[in-house]
Amino acid sequence: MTVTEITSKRGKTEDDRDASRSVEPETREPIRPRTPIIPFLITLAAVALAGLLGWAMWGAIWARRGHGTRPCAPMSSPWRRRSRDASSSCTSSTTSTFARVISLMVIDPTNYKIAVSQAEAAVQQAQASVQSIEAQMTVQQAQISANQAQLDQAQAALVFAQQQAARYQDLAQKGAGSVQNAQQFTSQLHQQEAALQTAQANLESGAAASRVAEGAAHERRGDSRASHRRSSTRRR
Amino acid sequence: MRFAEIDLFGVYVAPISLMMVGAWLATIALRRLASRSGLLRYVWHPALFVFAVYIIVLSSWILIVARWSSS
Repeated sequence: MTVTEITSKRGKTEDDRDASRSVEPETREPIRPRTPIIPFLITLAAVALAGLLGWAMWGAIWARRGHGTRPCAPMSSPWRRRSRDASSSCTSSTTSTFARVISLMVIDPTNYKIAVSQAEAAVQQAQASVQSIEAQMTVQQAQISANQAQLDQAQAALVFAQQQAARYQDLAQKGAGSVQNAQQFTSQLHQQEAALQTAQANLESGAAASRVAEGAAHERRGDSRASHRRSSTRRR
Repeated sequence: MRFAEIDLFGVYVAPISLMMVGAWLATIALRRLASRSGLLRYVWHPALFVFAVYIIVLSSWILIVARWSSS
């Protein structure tokens, strides 16, 4: 810039400066971006509704499977619910349903149910077998009692037959009685001895059968208890 | 529909997985519908809005099925 130009600019008056100023509007309004209030409200409403429903779903999902007595509050905070459920549980059919919803994997219980049913059937069969054997034991005891009575009867008859045989042999030796009677009562004595042996054999046979039935019942009771333990273990 | 486990090749998976997939498909259909009809132009944040719609569909489905199956 030369000295001449500086001098010429200093020489300008105030009016000359106004004349060279650019044209500007009288009033300037600040430029504001147009606020999309309705789209924003629509989005906000959708997000709020989603948050509300998600809160309800989340709170219900974190409620654990209930087996206590305290009912679950359906809309409480999930974080509070989670910490509270660590110490106690709550009861609600809805929460149980949700617990089923969020179960990641469930093992098919059909085979285990079948095994439990088979074990229970085995227990019932063993119990029925024990009852049957106990009934057989009762019958055996009655048979033993009858055999014992027969033995007593045979012993009494044998004593009388011995007395008769001795009596008629004495009479026959003295000539006061017939030989036929002596032989007849001797024969009766032998018959009564045989009857006594038969009664003794029957009694021993009944006692042996009773011991066998008792052993079988003891074994079946053991089987029944083992089956019951297996059934209880599988049910657990 | 009930909350019965789904047999997936011998493994029972959670029914919520099926619900999530179904809600996702429903949200896709709703988004296309809204896009064709021009409703998405009246939304401030389309991605946020679609995510909110997905949550609404999923939670509503689960809550309705839970109420229906418990009654």
